[in-house]
Amino acid sequence: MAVTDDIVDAVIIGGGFYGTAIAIYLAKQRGLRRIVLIEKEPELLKRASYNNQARVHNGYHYPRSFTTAFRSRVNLPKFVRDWPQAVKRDFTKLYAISRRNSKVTAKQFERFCHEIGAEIKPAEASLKRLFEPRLIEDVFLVEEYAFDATQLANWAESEMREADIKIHFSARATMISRSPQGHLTVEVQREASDVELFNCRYVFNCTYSGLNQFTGGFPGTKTGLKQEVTEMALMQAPDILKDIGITVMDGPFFSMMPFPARNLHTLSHVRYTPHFNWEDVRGVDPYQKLDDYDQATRVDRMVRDVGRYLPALRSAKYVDSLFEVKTVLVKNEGDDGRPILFEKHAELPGCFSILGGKIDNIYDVLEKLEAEEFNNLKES
Amino acid sequence: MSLQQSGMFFLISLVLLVLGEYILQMASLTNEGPLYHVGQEFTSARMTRKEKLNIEVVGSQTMENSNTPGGEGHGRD
Repeated sequence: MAVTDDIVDAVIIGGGFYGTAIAIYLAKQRGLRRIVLIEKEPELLKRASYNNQARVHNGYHYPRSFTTAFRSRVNLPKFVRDWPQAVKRDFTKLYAISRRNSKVTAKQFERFCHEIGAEIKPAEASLKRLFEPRLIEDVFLVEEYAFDATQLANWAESEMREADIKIHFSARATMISRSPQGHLTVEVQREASDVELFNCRYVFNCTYSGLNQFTGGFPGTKTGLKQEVTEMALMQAPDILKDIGITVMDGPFFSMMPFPARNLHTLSHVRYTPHFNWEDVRGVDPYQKLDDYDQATRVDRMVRDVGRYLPALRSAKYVDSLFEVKTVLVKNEGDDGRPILFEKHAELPGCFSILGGKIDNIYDVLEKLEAEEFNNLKES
Repeated sequence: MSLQQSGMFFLISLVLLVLGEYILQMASLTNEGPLYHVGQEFTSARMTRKEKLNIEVVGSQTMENSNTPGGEGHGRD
């Protein structure tokens, strides 16, 4: 076991988008000098930051959760400003409201968009013709973009190099505890079964699905989490749908979006994307559970159902599937809201757990961290 | 006979007069107060829902005094 004697300012667990953005923020805006980032994969932004629908939300998705919708709407322009290289904007985005079993009507949806200040226009007839009019009440042209996670990873890597943040790849943090000297200690397991201990002042647990999988004094999150194994089908869209992103809501709910990182489209479906779920507890490793699952695709069912609403999709070609564990808060089961979980552990002062749901809501976390005090070790 | 009828007519006029006065009195009384009163206030005059961050804050007591205007379900312990 290797023990590093010196103490670092902050250890960030998880090199996804939130972990890297917080590390860079701490280094650049808050002047923390020695930051270490622990990542389980051999690269940054490899898991949930990559395996998702790559949507930069503008609020349209959440007519039943005002705060999530409104904050997405506020944060999208900032995201486009800060990461223009990672945002794909050159496609038409349509939202269609289902006629049957929908929790919102076209009129409610329009009113909701005006309320949050999101751009919405009736779609032109040629676009409306793509949909089956018996099942779709109305179609709207909106402003929503897709992001390229590989570009974000490039950005994160160069920024972190510049800020001199040390990244440990293929390393897994297993324990967070309090050292007798009053610091926090993070135990990190490397591939070759050697264990390293990091002493630090602050720990940021940004592991998304693995949020509760630590031993030691780490108390776990007080908020209930639900883990869901999800499938995103990667499709080669037919020419007519090439430059279009489509979401149908809000009962029958499916979405097809360009996926810039692979130059394909992702297809998700409310019924077939979640394969199974469980309530998160310590000891049930979500990543292990995903690896153990046989990951048989359900794309045929997705395409059959989506084809009823959008006949052109039947000729799309299936290429691949992205399987990932998706983590949501139990309390948002009913309203579809996706707040960021921000938990400060009283038992371990200096330890924060942050679970982000939407990539562009990173600004809300940074604003929250702005209110916290961080000191370099040498100054204290 | 006509004397009896006119007597009765006079009596009913008196009754109607008293009733009429009473109704007018009550009507003016009820209009005197304020047009409505606030029974219970559910929201403040500030539109706080536009100031909220999309954050679910959970944590120790100190968090509750943090200066962000609260997340949904702020300060659940």
